[in-house]
Amino acid sequence: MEKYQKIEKLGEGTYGIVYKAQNRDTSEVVALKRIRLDNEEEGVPCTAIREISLLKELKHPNIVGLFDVLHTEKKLTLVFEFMDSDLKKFVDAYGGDLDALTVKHLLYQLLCGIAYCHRSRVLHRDLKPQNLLINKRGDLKLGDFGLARAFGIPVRSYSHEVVTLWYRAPDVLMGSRKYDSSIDIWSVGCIFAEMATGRPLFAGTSIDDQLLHIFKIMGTPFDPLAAHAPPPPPAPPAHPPAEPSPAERDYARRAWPACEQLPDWPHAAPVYASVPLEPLLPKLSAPGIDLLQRLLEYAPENRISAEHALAHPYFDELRALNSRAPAPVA
Amino acid sequence: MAANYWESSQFQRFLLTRYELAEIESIHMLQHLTTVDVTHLKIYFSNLMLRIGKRLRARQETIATAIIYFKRFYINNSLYDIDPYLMAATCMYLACKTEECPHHIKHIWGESKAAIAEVSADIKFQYEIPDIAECESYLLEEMKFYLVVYHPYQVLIDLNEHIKLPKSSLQAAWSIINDSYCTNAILIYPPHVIAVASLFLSRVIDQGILGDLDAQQWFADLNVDITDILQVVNDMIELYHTWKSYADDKIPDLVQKYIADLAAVA
Repeated sequence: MEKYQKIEKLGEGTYGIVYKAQNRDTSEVVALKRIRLDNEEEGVPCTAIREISLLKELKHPNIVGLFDVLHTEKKLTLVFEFMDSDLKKFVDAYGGDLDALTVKHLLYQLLCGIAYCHRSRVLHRDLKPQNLLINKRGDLKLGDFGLARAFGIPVRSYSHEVVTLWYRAPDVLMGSRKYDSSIDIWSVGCIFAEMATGRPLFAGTSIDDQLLHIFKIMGTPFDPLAAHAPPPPPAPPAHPPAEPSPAERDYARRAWPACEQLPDWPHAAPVYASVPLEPLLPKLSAPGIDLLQRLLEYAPENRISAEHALAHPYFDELRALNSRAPAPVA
Repeated sequence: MAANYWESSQFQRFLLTRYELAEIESIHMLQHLTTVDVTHLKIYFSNLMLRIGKRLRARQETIATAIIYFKRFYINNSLYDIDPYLMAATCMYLACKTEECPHHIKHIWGESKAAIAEVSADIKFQYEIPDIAECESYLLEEMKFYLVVYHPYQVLIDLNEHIKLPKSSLQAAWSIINDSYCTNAILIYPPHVIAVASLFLSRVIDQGILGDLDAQQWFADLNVDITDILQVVNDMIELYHTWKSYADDKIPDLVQKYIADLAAVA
């Protein structure tokens, strides 16, 4: 008799069917990911090997727990901690209207999980709302490490379903292969905005279209060192100290050194000015808008790290709430 | 993933003591292998995986990962349980996947077959592609799916950030690390111990390796158990001593005879 009793089908992951199930001995509810091994001309799929090997080592409250791996001749079953929902379903269940404090709580947990991955030198590379699991207590955990790879991120997954481009960093869209932890940070920015509005920030349908969606909001980037670069706007008078002018802000947001040397730099892309983010994200406070801009910096080296993002003033409210909370009973 | 060795499965689950390994290896002696034979077998199979890896243009770390998998499997199994040539090919196949340079199983099969034929035309490698897939499942089971491993190479690179070795010395230390995979060191010691021992040895070989730094002070300041370092150095010196009597072409017969002896007992 099998150790786990299937309860219902939850969905299809990158490389297998996911079930809700119960341990017959302990009654613990778990999620089972089944991978069929019926092709004797191939071993265990690379995506599964990658996910298992990483989750066996990564142990963190904001990373989904892998309890067990059951291995039989015809299939491989990964036994995961059960999570009730994912961020996409969660946002949809609230009609896209999460309250500001919930958004903050969720983003904080997402950044905690990503900071831990990056400390361990692991890139997730496929962050999106469907991969962020949520349970009834409001805990958020990173799941689905199956697409993590070193060289290039495939447009189609193992099961040939199209992998979404909406959360992909512009440097990766332009063919950069030298990417690092900053690619996850761009995805976090996109997810942050989506939580705040209920809609994806950049919903492109192809690589070119995805870049256009990004350019229309963030402005078309340019290489400030290139000969044909637009001249920097005139410096404001030093006295009295002034807020940066709209022209200066636009220049700072779009300037991306050496961007035109990326392999798939879109030469023919129309030039858009950046638009202010505040009207697009009315629910975000000024610190929230500032953090979002730092997550969505064009130049990968300028994107804020997960560690630094956690210390951003946007999260001061959570720290204040925590310090006011009664001390835990020992 | 390389920042977390102390929390890794390699440290928490797979590290063995010298005594444990000596006990495991004493089983070989029952079949009349000498300690020199045992060392020769280690050199032989490490070299074989190096050959396969080179044909696949795999990085040194990937080859090292395959060698660790091979060693881990034969801690609890004998060469009679699974043919070591099949296991060597399978370890490369799995290591390429965990180190993110996957090759098609057919390619691994072909290159392994070619590499083995290079060693000796007499070795029988009559396996087909599904045999590698099946062997992979035994290997995964044996390792309980703990597949991430840590190597001394990254530590050497990190240390070099501080001490800026001349290129030739860095190369020497790197080669000594390569050779350390012919010993049990990686099963007994954390990677940084092996990295420092390799540095130490390369200093012996190549005076002035540490440039203007006071070498004695530098080694003294390291927060590493010096007896461990010396033990690894000793193992390496023994290895190089035994290497003198090593010849690739003698080993296939030794392997065959040993497996036949094991079969007779089984």
